[in-house]
Amino acid sequence: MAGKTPKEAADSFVGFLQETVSCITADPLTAFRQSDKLYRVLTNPPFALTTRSGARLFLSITQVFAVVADPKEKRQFKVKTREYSYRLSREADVRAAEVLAYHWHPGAFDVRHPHLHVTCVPRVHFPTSRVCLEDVIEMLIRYYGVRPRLTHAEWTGILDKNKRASEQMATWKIQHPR
Amino acid sequence: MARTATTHAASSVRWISRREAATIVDAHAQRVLGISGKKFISNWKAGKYRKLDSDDCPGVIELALLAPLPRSRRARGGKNTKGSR
Repeated sequence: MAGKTPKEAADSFVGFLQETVSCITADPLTAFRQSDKLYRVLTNPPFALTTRSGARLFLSITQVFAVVADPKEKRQFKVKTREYSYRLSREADVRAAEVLAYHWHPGAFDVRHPHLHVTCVPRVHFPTSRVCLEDVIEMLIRYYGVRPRLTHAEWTGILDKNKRASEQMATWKIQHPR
Repeated sequence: MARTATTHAASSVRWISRREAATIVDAHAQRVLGISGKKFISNWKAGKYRKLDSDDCPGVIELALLAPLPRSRRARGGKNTKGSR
């Protein structure tokens, strides 16, 4: 997730995200550069997922990240996540109520800490630690029955590898559920 | 970092231009709020949506994350709001 240029660091980061989502979908993430330092990643449209029981779920990922000079490595750049939304719903329409959504948007809206929305308990922002995409994908496979595209060894290998890469670069403590 | 990604990815990331992104923001604003992306940004700057949340208006959080909005100082590096990965 580091790079010798800002673009290389951004490419590396979104490459990791793409590999992570490849555990459950063959669809591409979309990314764009907002400014010299700021990038955004999204699902456009939301990823359509199938569960083992045949139900359909839709995952929307929106992530904002900045590329900055790495304070530990001269002439290296690294990524800092600024905001995220991982949103699960039963319909593709963005206006559909979510099943759940992990949000962190410290620069927007009044609730600035990382939190979880659950539809069955409306208007409550359940506090969370920062949540990484790999943990969301694993939750979808293990608890929502989303069918992985890859073998068990492959998807667990990717998620474990990318979690370790996250931990290596993060300035915040990642608390994985297991 | 020596590790690399994309070994299993069936697709590579689709990079789009800022103009294409603006079209996506506009479509999203139309669907979520029934207004243009530009109108959303101008309303945002006027402080119209600070109290809004996804329970009131599904999709508005994602719209705000996609749009080129001015962010608060805390989000630009205040204590406990930075995130590296």
